[in-house]
Amino acid sequence: MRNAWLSLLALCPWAVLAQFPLGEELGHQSLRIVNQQAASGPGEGHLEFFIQHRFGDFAQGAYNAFGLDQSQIRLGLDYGLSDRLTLGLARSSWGKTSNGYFKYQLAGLRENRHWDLTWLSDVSVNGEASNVWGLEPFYYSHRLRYVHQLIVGRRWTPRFYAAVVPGVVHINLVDAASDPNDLLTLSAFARYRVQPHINLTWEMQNTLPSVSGAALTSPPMALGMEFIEGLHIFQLSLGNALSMNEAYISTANQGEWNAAHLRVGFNIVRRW
Amino acid sequence: MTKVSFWLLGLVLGLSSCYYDNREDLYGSAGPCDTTAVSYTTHIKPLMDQQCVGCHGATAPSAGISLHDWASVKASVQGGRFVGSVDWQTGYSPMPKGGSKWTPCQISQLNAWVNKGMPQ
Repeated sequence: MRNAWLSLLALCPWAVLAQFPLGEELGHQSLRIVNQQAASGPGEGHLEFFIQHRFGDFAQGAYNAFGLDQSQIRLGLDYGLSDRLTLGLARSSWGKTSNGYFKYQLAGLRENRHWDLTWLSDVSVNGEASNVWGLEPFYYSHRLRYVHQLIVGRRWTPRFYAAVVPGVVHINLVDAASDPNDLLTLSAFARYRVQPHINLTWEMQNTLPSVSGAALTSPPMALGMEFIEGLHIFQLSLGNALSMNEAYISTANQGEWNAAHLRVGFNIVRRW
Repeated sequence: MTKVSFWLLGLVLGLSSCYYDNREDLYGSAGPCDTTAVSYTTHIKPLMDQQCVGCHGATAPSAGISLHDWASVKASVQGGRFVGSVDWQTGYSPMPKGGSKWTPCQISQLNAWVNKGMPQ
């Protein structure tokens, strides 16, 4: 027991060194905007633990506390193998989906550059029991989806950062023969610094209808506010997306963009 | 680090098992859609269990709409919002949330089931 306490104490200086510094480049403040991956990683040797939480939509009514009685949760870890290379794992309650990814920052890093260029590759595994799928015989490959994205970000001013994210989602099993297995996606996000420890954020994801033929009626979009608290970042959001997983958010039907179908959510990020 | 990146890239590419499958071709519903003998047990319930009951189960259902058994699905259809939502009609909240639209055959079977008086 004594050894355990000593080990914990030994971690303290490390934890202090790993805080989110105030005034850091907007492109490097956290790894996620709301659901969308940002261009940066946590840096070499640093580990981030994140909790993402989305409540039900406002249409749930007063009986369900306008959505607060329901929740979807996602837990994950991101680790910086180097300043450029990040590995991540996460698990969502929605679809019992696990995913793993790597993210490699091709340009930008933490030097004082205006542009960031990052490659993201992700594989998701739907973990629902095979009898839920209702398919016989059932193949493991049905569970898999892949995401590849190129995150192109620019710091326009010290207070404003914006990025576009072209990408592709590959779905191993689609429903109809006419449905495409590969969907091109185009996402965007922005971050605006209000105060040294408070940012406003915005993000949107969409499929490209001319290619997929499956444009979503209401693409996922979210507004957020993030509070930087030393070792933690707390991100509060309002959006229509139910899923938090990269492979599902831009390709699945979400709630419409009206007051009844918005939902509150939050992310908590802890860095070591 | 270059070596690590190289192996990681190899791992991702090597473990990738990209398939271009679809349910219609793999599971035989690509032919004519059978809407002649549609029942709740054989056609509707498996769809409900897969696509709806996760949120609209028996306890604390989303929006207060439960779809966990024949009676609750029937009541929901009679409420007038069910078919429009599943068919993503204008003015309805498209369902399933976070999922893709039912296939044309599944929607045809739902309509046939409703038109036959929603048999068990």
